[in-house]
Amino acid sequence: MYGLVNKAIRDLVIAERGEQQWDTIASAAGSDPDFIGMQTYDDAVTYALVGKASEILEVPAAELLRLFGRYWIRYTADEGYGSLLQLFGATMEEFLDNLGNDLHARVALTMPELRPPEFRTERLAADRWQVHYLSERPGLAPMVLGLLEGLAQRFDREVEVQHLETVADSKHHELYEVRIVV
Amino acid sequence: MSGTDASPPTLAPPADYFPDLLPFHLVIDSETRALQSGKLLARALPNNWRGATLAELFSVRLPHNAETYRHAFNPTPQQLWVCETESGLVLRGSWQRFGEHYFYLCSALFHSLDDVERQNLRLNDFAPHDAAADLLMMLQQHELAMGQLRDLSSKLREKKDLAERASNAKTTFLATMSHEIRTPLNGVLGMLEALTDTQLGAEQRDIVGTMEASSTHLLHIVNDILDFAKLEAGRMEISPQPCHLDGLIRGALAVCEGSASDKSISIRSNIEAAADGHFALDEVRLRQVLVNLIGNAIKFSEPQGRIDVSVALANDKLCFSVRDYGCGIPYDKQAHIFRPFRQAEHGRKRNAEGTGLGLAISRRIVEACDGHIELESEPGFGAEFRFVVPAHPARLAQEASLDATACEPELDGLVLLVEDNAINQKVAELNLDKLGLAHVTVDNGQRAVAATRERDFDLILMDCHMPVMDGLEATRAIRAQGRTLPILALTADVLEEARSACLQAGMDDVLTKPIRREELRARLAYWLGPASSPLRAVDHL
Repeated sequence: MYGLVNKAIRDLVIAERGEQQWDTIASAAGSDPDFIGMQTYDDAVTYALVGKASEILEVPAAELLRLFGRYWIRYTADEGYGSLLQLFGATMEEFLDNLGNDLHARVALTMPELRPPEFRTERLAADRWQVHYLSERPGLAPMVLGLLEGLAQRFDREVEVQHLETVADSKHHELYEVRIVV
Repeated sequence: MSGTDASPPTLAPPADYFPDLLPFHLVIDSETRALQSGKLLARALPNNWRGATLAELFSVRLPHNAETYRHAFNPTPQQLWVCETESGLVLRGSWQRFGEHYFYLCSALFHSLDDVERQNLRLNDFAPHDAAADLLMMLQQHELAMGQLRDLSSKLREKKDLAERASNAKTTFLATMSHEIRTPLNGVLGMLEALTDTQLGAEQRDIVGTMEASSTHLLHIVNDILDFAKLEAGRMEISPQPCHLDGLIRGALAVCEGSASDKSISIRSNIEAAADGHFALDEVRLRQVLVNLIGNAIKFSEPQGRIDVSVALANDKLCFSVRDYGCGIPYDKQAHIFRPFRQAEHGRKRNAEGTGLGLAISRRIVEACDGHIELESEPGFGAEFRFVVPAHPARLAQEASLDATACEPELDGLVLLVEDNAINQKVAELNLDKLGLAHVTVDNGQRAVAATRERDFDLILMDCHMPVMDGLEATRAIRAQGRTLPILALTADVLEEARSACLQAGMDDVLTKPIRREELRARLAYWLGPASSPLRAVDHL
């Protein structure tokens, strides 16, 4: 996992609970408290940080991942990836339409150590999409709920996001439905 | 040879496909009027682009002589054309002629993802074979990585500054405390020495002896802490000077002689013949290492024990060894023995004295001399500490050394003592009396300057910190008068900076408080001796 993810976890915890709590979490996870965004780290570091954060902050892991998903969209935009997000779409609708077009794979071309997830989207109606999320990494279904909610915040929209099912597949495959309310 | 006359397949796609296949391209006729455009280029052109001339659609950045195309459009296929639309889209490419038509085969030129955004383009707008967007993403990631690097450098610099400030504060604190402790110690030790010279009963002599030993021990602790702080701060300088190994070993043994004889321990020293000579070594610091190691060996030896000290020369290195036959050091303690504040607990014999810094200091001194130190010990069978330093042969101008154990010369002369502290005045006066030297005492630099105008002195002992005028300023004023007599600093400040400041002000030597009488005798003998003394010549090498 790129260090940017760990940095985002760090910043989220510090923003919500302060630096001291973060130091406790990083220490309990056996990790450095600081990360370099473009350096890759073992996935185990990220999972350990989330696990310890959940334990120490007494927030269920699923809820924490959902919070993180929401935060990630804002964080990456603030960290200089705003124009990259903009390449995916200028509206929520456009973004969701484009999400399925190998966008992550194209980003991965420029980040050789990225093991990106795969999204497939299907527009069911003018305001409804079915979103497939496929990843090599287990346990991230709640984060995708947060990511979709974070996107709506970015475009100043309101959405209803539902996790429909976990699909039996060679990868970790989750199915969601997104409806734009406002 | 016969065969089928199959026609080769036609590879050229129909012109209708071009707008999608080549999103950035333009086809013009011989009068430069636009006939066809790529899908994305069309979005950047005005609605009525069809039939518009090249000059109406683009401003041409390259080639510089492009104006000529208005008269005769005849570009070469290798010529780079950079054109900009009114909406700010920049294109780069070249013209290919096909019959009466010219194809501008080009791609969009972006310098950042923001440029892409300004043209309202999305990643999907770039054909999969077009790497422009990928290059932009790489550029952006490079910029972000550089930004992160700058942030990290800035954080590191901040932390380094913070650590340096903390380290400086610590060193200053230790130097100040050392100065503050040394000043009264000078009084205590000086008076104890003076008391020892008086008529004392056996019991009183024993009490004074204990007091002196305790005070000396306190002084060692202060020295250890300060040395360690200096080594930690990288402020201890190694100054190699010509040094005879025999003198080095004898000097170290002389310091330890008292404690060894208290336990009836015999110390045998051996300098291998090849090592018996002069080498460029920091004698003071290496003696300190040897004293630490021999002192430890004495502490952990049984009464009537034995210690072997030896030096050998091998592979251009001097190998020093201090071997005792005491209780040894437990294996689990050996790895940490050179760390600060560590003392191996030798069973019942935990060393109650010392700071636990001696071996840490020794290691750092040896390392500062480009050497290394090691330990070999089997519990129950003693320990051997070995250290190795480079053996650079020294060239000697004259062979001599300042040896406190040398014969004691008769001293003669008039000394000006400049000291504001009443106790230290008294200690110095008592010592000068004992050494048979006449003296005049003043309590600040201004009075010292005045005194040197009135009388001729043979030597000045000058305190550094004094009211009215300090010792440095007074020295400069005395030198400005053209007086060349020896001026020796008396200071409780033992940092190298303080010593340098004294020498730069014009002083000849620096004595550190507390000043022991034997040391004072040696220095005064040196500076009050004849000007042609070989001792001075060596010291100024």
